[in-house]
Amino acid sequence: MRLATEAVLYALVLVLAAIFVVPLVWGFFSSLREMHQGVSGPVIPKPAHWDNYRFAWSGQFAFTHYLWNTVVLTFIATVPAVLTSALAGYAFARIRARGRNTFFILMLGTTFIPFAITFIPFFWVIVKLNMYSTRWPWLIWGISGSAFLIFLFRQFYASFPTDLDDAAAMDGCGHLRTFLQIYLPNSGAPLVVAFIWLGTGWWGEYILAQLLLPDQLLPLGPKIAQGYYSAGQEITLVPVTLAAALLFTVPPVLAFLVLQKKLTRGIVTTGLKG
Amino acid sequence: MANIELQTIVKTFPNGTRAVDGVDLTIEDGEFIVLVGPSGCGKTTLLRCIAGLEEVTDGAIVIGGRDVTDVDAKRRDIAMVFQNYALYPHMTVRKNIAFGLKVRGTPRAEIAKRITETARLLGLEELMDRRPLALSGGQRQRVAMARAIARRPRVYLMDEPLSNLDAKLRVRVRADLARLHAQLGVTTVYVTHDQVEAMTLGQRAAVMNAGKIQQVDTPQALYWSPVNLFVAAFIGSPSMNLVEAHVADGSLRFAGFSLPLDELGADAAKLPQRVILGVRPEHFAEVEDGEAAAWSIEADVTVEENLGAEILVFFPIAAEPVETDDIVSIREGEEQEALLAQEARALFTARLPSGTRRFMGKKIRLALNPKRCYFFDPVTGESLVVRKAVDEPLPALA
Amino acid sequence: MGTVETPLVATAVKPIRRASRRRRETLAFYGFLSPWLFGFIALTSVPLVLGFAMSLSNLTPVNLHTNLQYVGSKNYVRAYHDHEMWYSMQRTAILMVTIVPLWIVTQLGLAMLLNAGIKFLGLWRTLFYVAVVVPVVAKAFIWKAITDQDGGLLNRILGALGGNRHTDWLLEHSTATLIMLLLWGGAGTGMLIFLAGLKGIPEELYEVARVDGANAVRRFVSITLPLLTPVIMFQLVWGLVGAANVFVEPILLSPGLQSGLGSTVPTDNITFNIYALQRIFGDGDFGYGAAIAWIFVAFILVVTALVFLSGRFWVFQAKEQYGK
Repeated sequence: MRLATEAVLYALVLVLAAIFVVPLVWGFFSSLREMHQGVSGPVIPKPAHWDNYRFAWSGQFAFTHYLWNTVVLTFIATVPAVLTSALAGYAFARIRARGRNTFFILMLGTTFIPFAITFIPFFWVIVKLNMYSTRWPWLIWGISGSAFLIFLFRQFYASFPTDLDDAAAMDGCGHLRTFLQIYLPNSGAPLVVAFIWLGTGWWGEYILAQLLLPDQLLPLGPKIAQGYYSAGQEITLVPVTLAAALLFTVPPVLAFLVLQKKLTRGIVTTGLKG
Repeated sequence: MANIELQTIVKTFPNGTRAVDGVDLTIEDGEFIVLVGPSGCGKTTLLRCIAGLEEVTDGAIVIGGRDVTDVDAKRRDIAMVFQNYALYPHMTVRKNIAFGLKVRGTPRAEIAKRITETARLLGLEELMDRRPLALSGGQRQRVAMARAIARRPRVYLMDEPLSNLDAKLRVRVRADLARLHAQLGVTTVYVTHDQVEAMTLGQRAAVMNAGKIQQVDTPQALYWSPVNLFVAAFIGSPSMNLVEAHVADGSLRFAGFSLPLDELGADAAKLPQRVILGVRPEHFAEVEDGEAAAWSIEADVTVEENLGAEILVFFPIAAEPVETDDIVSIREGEEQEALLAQEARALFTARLPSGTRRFMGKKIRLALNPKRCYFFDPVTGESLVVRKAVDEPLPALA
Repeated sequence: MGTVETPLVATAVKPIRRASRRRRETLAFYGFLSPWLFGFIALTSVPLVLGFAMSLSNLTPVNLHTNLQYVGSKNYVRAYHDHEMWYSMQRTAILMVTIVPLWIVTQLGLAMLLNAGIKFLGLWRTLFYVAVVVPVVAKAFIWKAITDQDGGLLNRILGALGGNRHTDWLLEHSTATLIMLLLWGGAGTGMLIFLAGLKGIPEELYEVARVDGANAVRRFVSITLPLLTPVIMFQLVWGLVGAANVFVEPILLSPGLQSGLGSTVPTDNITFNIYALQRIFGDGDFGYGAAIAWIFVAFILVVTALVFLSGRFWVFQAKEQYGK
């Protein structure tokens, strides 16, 4: 590459990366401003009000309580879903049975169905089953998996060498054992992708919790969205709310940073190209 | 140990392809049999049917006296070595070998014992804790063999197990395979497209084409007494020279040559008017100037390949190449696409003793031994004259 | 050699055994699928049927037990004459045709930049992707801080450039604000998928093209784009479905103190989904809301079907090409 082209290339990457990171930086700066000040003032707040984070953590509600709620909901909605999605992906990729194609199309079709259509009837079913105000619906979502992840696993498993299936069959494995002992241990890449995508989605979930759960079971998403207020006054404490939002952002970002290499490799190897 | 009986096996795929088309074959207990043929001939499908990895459409498979046609692969007591080895990438060599035994609930002590034995037999002791990715191609191949051997099944199936090795290693492993079979004596069905493997490994070989077995016999018999054009053209390297010839006025005529029929003796009477003449390249002999030869042809050498021990000379003759379905299927099956457009004339090959002489561009005279010429029906491809293996050396090459 | 059991026995037993083998496969398939099937029935099929029944009724929380009636196509007819509904459909369509091309161009552009052999690839990739894992609530608050009327980053920049430093983004430019947020938060995943697609194009093709004298633009148009068309199709469909279903972000970006279903979303940001939800949760008009949602389903189905069908004219089918 010629020097000039290279310089342009790096300049471009730098500028674009800045555009993508600046919102986070701005959010961080704004979280350090004086509590009642909004976002006005010098670009870099002086002095930095680190107190906002303490207030976000314990000033209005017990952050840890809702953090725990978030962890529980994310866990029960994500972990089973990843496993059952892998199971279904295997079935779609590897087991021949009547109705397979029909169900595959139906499965993809479910992603088209808007929330507004199914929510009220679902809500009614939940109430009838005495699951309103409980975490049970999250487990149900968890068990039933995710169409997108099933698709992801199916694509990955369809490109798996069939020789391994044959070898497993000759070694005496049925489908279940082949899946558990041969496929799953070799699914690191799509498992990481699935955990990151579904996990970060449920971590930040906002609407369903608000509609189905009482305050003491709420996760942080809707709780923070209610905002922080100064006592007695109806004024949003923007810097504090931002501090809480950023605290809330730390776990998924950390998970991503730890797993980012595997995530990229996962997307390459899962053949998510339609 | 067990014998295998295949009774009119038919395998039709959902897309309508009839990959195996009525195969009858009995494999003796302890025999090493090779299924050989061009790719797409159905040999691998047949093997997978025996394994139970494919369901047969029709026919029956009997192994050791037990009808296993509808028995699952895992209950047939068969082990298989795959072309790409199919080692479990997440398991160490030890676990790869142990897996099949574990699944079958073999006691721990027994598993440990068999692993040690097999590892010693195949020289894998140093590699037991490595993963397949950290192994060379040859080592992976040995692990794949070990996995099959440790199971101690009644039958081994091998699907082109040497095709991913480089040429030198292949020769060595081929010899090892032969030794291993002599030692273990387990019935083995071995699939390959490589006729050298078929010739060297098999006690018998079954040549397949288009889903059917063409001929089952010892490798020597396949070479010397091919029952039809396909087997004749498939076995032997370089392959047999073929040309369409006419019988007229007491001589055999092709490409402007005329050879007296009486040299053929009693066989001459069996030839119809049109035949396909086949001559193996090694059955030509050069005729020195002034020497007499009852059957000889003129050759304008256009290309020569000196292989050191011998020399291959190529020369066109004034006749069209033989292009029956069988010949075409061999060429397509082996994916031999010519670089240049096909010439309208047939190209013959002769294998001559090597020396310092250059043949290229020269005119030479080549003698044919009438007793070493093959004749086939141009329509059915069937062999018209019976040839037997002989020990007597070829006159000119002696 | 012992030739053994007569084939007669074998033939007699065969059909039964074979059928049982097939049945076992089928059983395994549905067994493996059962968790999803359970969800498919409980979360999708039953609510879908009930939802359709709802759309044919006058259901409200009040008349659930008193005056529930079948009203036929009344809700659909009402929707047909509902200007606000048509406006929300228009806004959804505008959002779709704006954000999806922006997404694809950004994602492909970033992917190509990262594929150009630059150093610190992992770092850049991380910076471009990280917004994706930020929870939507945090995204919205950050964006509110950026578009704040007094002292927001956007107005500061605008002011420095001589523009109006008191622009009310959330109210007056609500769609632009929403699109910026969606672009920022939604580009990363597609970028990684495009990057995977680019890595799948053999380097030899570019080398041959270079030898043939093709310049960078030519190589992009003649090699990169055609070979990426399957990825583009994938991104197009998921992007359209995703854009059509946007509804959390506009709610969270609504100006004012309250964030939640009760918040006042600016008219331009009322997508189809939000309009239906407002009829349901705001007005308690379940029947009408369900009817609107069904019209919405029909709309998405038509759009994606058209996109899929268009694919045969522009998507490169590698399988046909190489005859595998």
